[in-house]
Amino acid sequence: MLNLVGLFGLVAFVVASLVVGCRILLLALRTRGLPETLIGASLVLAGGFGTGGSVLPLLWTTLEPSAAHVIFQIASVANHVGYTLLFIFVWRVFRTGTHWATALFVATTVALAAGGIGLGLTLELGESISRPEGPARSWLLVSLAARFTGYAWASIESFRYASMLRRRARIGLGDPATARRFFYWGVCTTAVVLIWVNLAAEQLVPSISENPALTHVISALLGFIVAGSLSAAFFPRGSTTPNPATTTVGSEPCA
Amino acid sequence: MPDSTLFDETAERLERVTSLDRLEARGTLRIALKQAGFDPKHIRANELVVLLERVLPQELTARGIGDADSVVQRLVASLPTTGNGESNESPESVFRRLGGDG
Repeated sequence: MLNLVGLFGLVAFVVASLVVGCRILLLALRTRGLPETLIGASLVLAGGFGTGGSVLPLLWTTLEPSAAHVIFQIASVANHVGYTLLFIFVWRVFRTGTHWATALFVATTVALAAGGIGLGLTLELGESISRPEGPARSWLLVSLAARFTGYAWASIESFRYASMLRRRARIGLGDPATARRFFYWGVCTTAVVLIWVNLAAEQLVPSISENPALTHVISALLGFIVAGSLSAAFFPRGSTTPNPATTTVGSEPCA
Repeated sequence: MPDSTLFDETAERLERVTSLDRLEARGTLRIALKQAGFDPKHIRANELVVLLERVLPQELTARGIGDADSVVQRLVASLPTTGNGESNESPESVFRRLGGDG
């Protein structure tokens, strides 16, 4: 039963990432916007193919160890490229031109690259990319720390902007629909942060690593949250909100 | 007029038309901006007009400035009326596009 819940959570995560990511990439073809390209590609690579590929060999138990190893390696590359694209998105959209943000972006990306490359070079045949036991374990933790930092940054910026737009809406400016989009993206990235924490806990806390069922359930539940919040954030609804780029003096506050 | 100096110029005018000193004028304006969810570096003139009319009066009154409405009118009258378009790369603009409202 728990395995089934875990599987459904994972499928929801992967499917939502692929569907929303592809939709945004199609949007990027039309708008030629870099932010759309970054986040769409990130979702497809990391949320879709990378996450799916990281788990596929675990489900496909008859797969040859060498084939599983290749799939793990390809998935890891897709994941790390996807994570990097997200970091670029956060830096570029929220803090472009800011010195401290540039330093944070560079440091996080270097750590992520080091973790990803180290993981790839030290993962042994027969080891799972998500739960290695040899030297790859240390590199996984480096990668997880970088992922935690990048996605936590995304989460903080999103919630901050949601709060700013809600305050603007109270005086008749800002766009409530866009505020909700920032909020749901904050929920999504927070859930992803918790998935990294969950994975790290399984690596670092003996009592948890000896009982992985709980972490599987937690990851599954977080997968559902990611899927739901991602869809809420970026799946367009029937009605559109007017662009509040300009406003006239004396306009009534938004509902 | 670049929006990045709009805050500075408005704060200077506020200092001139009230009894607030430089720090008090900048602080009062900064508090009003924060309450309304704006960053001093990125607010546009048309947004500042609404903020000045709807948020600043109570801040001025709280600081003992009489005739806050007259002060606000003078500040609004000096703001530019052009260059109010939203940047395509602002976070709001990006997230609006991502949701299909672009």
